Amino acid sequence: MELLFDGIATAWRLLISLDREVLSITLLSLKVSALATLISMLIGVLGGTAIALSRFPGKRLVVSLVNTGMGVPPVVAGLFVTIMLWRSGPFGQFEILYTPTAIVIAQTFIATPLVMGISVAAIQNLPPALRLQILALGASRLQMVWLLLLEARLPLMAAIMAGFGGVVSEVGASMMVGGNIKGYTRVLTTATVMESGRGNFDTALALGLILLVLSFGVNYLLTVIQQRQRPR
Amino acid sequence: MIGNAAMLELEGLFVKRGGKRVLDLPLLTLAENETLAVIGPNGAGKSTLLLSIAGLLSPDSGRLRFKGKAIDLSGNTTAYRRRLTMVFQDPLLFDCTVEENVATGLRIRGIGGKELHRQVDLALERFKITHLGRRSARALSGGEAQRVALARAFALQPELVLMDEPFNALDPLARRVLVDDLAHNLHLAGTAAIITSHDRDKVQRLANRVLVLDKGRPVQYGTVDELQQKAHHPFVAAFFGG
Amino acid sequence: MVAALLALLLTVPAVAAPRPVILATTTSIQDAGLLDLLIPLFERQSGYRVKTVAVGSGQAIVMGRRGEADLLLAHAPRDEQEFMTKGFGSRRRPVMQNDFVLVGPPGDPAQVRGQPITEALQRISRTQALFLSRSDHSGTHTKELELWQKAALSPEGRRWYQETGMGMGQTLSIASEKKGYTLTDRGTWLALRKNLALEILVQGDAGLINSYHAIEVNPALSPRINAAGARVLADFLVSGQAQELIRNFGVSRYGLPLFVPAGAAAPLRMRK
Repeated sequence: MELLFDGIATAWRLLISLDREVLSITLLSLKVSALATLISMLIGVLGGTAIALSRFPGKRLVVSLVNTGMGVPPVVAGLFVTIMLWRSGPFGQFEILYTPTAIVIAQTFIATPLVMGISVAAIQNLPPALRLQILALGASRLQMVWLLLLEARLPLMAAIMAGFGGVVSEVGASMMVGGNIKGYTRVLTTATVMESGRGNFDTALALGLILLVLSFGVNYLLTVIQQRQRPR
Repeated sequence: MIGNAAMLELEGLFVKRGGKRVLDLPLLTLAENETLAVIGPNGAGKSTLLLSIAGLLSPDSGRLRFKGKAIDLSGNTTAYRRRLTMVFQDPLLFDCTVEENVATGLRIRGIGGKELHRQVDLALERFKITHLGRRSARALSGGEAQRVALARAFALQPELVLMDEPFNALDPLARRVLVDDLAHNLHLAGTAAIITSHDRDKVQRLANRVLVLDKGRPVQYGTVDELQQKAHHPFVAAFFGG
Repeated sequence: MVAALLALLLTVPAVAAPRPVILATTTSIQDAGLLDLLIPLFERQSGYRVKTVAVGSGQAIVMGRRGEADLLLAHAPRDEQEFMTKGFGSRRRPVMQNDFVLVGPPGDPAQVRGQPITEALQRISRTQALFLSRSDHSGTHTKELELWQKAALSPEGRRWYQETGMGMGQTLSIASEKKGYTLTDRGTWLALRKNLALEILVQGDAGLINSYHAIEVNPALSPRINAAGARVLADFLVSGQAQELIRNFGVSRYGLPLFVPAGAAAPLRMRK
């Protein structure tokens, strides 16, 4: 119990004093996960909508694959990305391994199936005739897609929050492809594991608490957007 | 038919679904300001006809002329679809306020600002739902929701309105009141309309002419009086007789 | 905003800057915090960027063989020697030393306190006292296996020999919880002992010396190996400047140094 209070006290101290290293680690966590979520949102929402709205042979297989992708352990995604980015791998020449870019790539692989899977379900959950009604109001195909997305905004926003939550708290893949290099690829989760391993449990707890606060902040923002009335 | 300025001319409309013939209509014309009712047993192809005319369904074959201009139903129909609109049995409102719903079609056409508000307010007035403007679409009764759907359609000042069983979900009183407002608005704007319905009273009240479909084929066509006097098909007899 | 984020993250190093050096090292060195001191200094002085990846010695050696790392800083002498004889490394130099200690519950059920390590392990085996092994191909694990071998014992599969598969910190926590014995490097011990209900029971034995070597990976293994950078980094680690920093490392925090630089005349016996 005392350890928990120590952790809270340390977290408070680190934040108030604007400890440079903690700030840079927090900022990196935010940047990397926000970018990964953004990319996976574009691919996931647009891809999921396209799948939901089209008819093609093997559609059920594709949707199954997407849904299975949601359950892939993040560390497996990390392993896959590592193998791709190794010097001996197909993309080794770009020397992306152990950089923040690599973490963004791995986290995008993790978040995209999640966002896509929920998007497919969200769009399929709309009344089928709604598509026709929107077209009957004179919408172009692009306008129709936009209006459908707007109509499904509640589950879609939930999908994005789930994507962000999943990657900002992820440690295995981030460790593998990032390397937890001080000042360069060290994020809140990998730093927490490291401090734990060093025996600095109060610092580890503090970092964990900071991660929670960060996560809450982002989700609060997204929830406000989600619950907003449609703009005039 | 008559040498009237034809709003709509359909020739050889043929739709097949899963190998079965759904609609086979050799000829249909609609005059300006005319309201045509399409009736027939279930599965007669009434909805298919409306969807084809609305540009929402690509028929297997058929030629359509809208106010003299040939329309390619298999290509990009956006410009054509902006000249007419359709209302369905389910109001299919969006998850926002009534005003926002009515504004949707106008926004699609790039209308905004003061002009948008003006047209929305006008449409709400025409269907007597000004007081519901700020209400969420989720909090409406069946009758109110259908009014919103109609207001949303008429706000666009379409040249033709298609309505697929628009009164079905309403109770008899709501139906009666709505039909009067609808008739009034059709007349006011001079809008042509095609309506499908099972309700004899409404057909009599609204329609200039009636087209009877059975298994995709036309079996009778004429004014309400003509159909009442002489039924070519058991369905017609039952419809107007009872 | 997306553009700004992308720009921030993907800042490509200037064409003129030298290629980064990938240093594969062990978690014990990273956990001690030594590299947090040495690497930034090296980067400033040399202009090289170092990507330090802390993995087990076993994994570091595999990475070296695959050409995925340029320099290895490991403490698994037998595996390292095999690495060199097979021609995977071009140069191997000692950097520093410390020692391993056997820790266990204060009650010491196997009565190993003060014994030479071989005798201690035999007593543990005879009394079937609980022993925790990292079992993760790390340098510590490799040393532990060597010691069992020297004591002519093979404890694998016995009920009292439990393999955690985890890092040193976690293994020590488990040993503390379950009142078992385990082998640990002194550096990690000093960092974590305040949270553990364990004591040092065996130390100072010649068999417990832990040497760290810097191995430059043979550039012939892969065209992408940064041999020049590895050489410069290795030179730095054995340089007087670095060796002096190593000698003083840990004194302010623990009251005594964690490592002995290889440049010193003879390895110091460290008590407590």
